Amino acid sequence: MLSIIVFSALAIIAVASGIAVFRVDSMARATYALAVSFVAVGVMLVMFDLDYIGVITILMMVMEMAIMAIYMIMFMGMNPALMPMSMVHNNRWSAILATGIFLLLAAGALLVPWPARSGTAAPDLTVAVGEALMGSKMLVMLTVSPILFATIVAALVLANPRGRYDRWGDNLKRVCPDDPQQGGLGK
Amino acid sequence: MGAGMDMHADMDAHMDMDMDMPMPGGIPLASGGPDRDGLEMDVLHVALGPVLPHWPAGLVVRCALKGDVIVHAEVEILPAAPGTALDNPARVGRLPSADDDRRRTVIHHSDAAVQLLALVGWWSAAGRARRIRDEVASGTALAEVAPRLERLAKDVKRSRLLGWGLKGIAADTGPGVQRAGNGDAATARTRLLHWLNEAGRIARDTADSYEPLDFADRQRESLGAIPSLVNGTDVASARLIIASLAIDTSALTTSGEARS
Amino acid sequence: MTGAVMNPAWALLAPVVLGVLALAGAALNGVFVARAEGRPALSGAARPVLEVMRLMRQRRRVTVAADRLLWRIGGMALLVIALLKTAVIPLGPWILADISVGIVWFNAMDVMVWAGMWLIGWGANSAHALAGGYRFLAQAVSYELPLMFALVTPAVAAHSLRVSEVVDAQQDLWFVVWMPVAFLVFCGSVLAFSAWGPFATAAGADIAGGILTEVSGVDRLLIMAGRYALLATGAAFAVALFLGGGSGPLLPDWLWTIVKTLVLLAGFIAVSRRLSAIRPDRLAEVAWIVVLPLALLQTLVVSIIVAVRG
Repeated sequence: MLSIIVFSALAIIAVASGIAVFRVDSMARATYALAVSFVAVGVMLVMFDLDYIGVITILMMVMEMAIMAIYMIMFMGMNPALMPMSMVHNNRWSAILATGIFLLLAAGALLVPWPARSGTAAPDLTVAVGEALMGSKMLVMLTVSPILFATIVAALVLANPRGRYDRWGDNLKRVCPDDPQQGGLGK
Repeated sequence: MGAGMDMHADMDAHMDMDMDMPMPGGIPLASGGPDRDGLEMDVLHVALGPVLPHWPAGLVVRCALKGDVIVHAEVEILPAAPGTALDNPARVGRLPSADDDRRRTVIHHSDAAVQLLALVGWWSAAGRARRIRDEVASGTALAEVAPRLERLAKDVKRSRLLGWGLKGIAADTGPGVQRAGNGDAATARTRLLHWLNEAGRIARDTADSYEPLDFADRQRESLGAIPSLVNGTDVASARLIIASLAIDTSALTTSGEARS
Repeated sequence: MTGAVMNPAWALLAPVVLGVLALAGAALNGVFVARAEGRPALSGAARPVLEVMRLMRQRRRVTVAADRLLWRIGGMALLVIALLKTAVIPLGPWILADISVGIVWFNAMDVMVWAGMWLIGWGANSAHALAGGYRFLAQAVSYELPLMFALVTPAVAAHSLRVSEVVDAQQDLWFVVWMPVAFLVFCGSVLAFSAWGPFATAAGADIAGGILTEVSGVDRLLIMAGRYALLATGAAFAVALFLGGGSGPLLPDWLWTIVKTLVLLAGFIAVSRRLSAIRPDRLAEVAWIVVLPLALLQTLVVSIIVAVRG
């Protein structure tokens, strides 16, 4: 009984703060409303005994929102943090899309015959998740992660407006790099 | 989520925004300008001073900021009331005596060191400098504080963390001013060491070999150098630079020159 | 000591223990300040209590167009986060919630500090406070990854993310002995997420107090108490992860935990006053180019040792 109450409260918090994202006036509030929504979802995952996934959701989402707040404020011009502004866009189509997807997912949740649990839960779910993710799929992981990493590095190199020739001179022979803000190592 | 913001539809309304847009707290919108990184940034006008911790009292540096980077600065010194005996802590409650000038120099130098050490967050060293300054101001014999000043100078010189933190914080106000011994341009760190060494030397020597304190001219030069020195630095570095100029606003206001 | 089921009522005691530890830290800091200023040490030790009374009575100062909701949330956050951290920190044989992912829980909570600090800086609508909030995030992206690897290392050695099992795995040899880099990185990160000592740049004097510029009254009290509480929980967690938890001769387990925590806390506070600030713009390169590879190397070495020993 208690768990149903707590779960329902969390669900309401998640949805309500999700709605708040589009109702509040400020970028900072919108971002952190989204963070609250994610934290509520994370706690719900913990309630499913998915400790690791739940806690890591909280960790990742709070971190992400803390950083995203910076970008939201940076790129939404005109003093967006303090100015009342409309947070919705293309109202009709987004409403149609949202309703359609909600109906689809809800229908799926209600109509699909969910299988009953076969066997019991592993004693240590973290180990189980780790083996499920990494055990049989280790080769995939080993291939995917260097590719992802290389993509990130390549994207950064392409996006960087000031490469090493800008910093170290045409012959790369400057004693210390020409940076607007000096770093700690002079590299 | 970013795409959800209805910015484009608002563009038409942009024109009459100045009139219609509510100003939160009566603060008008910031205007934009290009940034050193190629972004368009809001320009924020912030006045540093006249009252801040570890800041020359009465000095106002009006800055235009992009982010926390100063892109333009103007310097002003607020006019002060006529000086009192309190302006010269060495002379409070006593008759003038021969070593007043030495005392005043030691106080000025250790005071400057207190400000800079506090700004870099080295509280134990700042506390030591402050105690020395207070004791000199309240009449302790100079010979007594000399070894402590020298020890402090040695510790400051040895601190690699401080050297690293202050690296590249330039404080060169122009030719002929307080150069470091080897002729390099003055930095915040060389200034700090210079004050402590000078204060220690003056406190120890009884002969009249100290630097006289007629620095109104030099102060004016330092003041004039602020806008170019802090341009392009972030606020925190600007604070360190200004602290390393050791501006004595009382010397400037009493000599009549208030603006630069 | 694993799996000791506890009455939830003990949760009421955790804030008391945390409060006492935080107060002890504040008192010690007061003693250091008093000694530096040449006042009697006892007056410094009493300072935190007087400061609490002063701030409780002080009226809140409010700035123009402040985002009060976010500001208040940020002000409360640090203390709440520290309390949530105590759930997974063992005190001798007792631990409130010995969940299977205790270390990740601690990590998730210290990421919450990012939000809290930034909100404190943001809410005030003041240039210096905002610079402080951003500074904390700049510092956070420097310390967080090394911190994560420092947390992972004991977990690798103990084959578990459960804090009690990490403590048990140290019966023969404390982890600090064979993972000193991880220990040092963790201690540095504790100072960093508490915005303390050389990492107190978010509240640095060079930006006029940063996030603390505009806070007053109860908000200030909560933030200051929260920083001490974070420091104390960090010390206590370091004891559990690296210093053998409650193991030690003669004294009972819980007392050893407290003694070790106090010693580490005193170390944090004593060291901090002697170091100048490390500004985030200087820290970033060092953290990513030197500290992170070192932390990774430490994890690698420990992993190899664990794999070889089986």
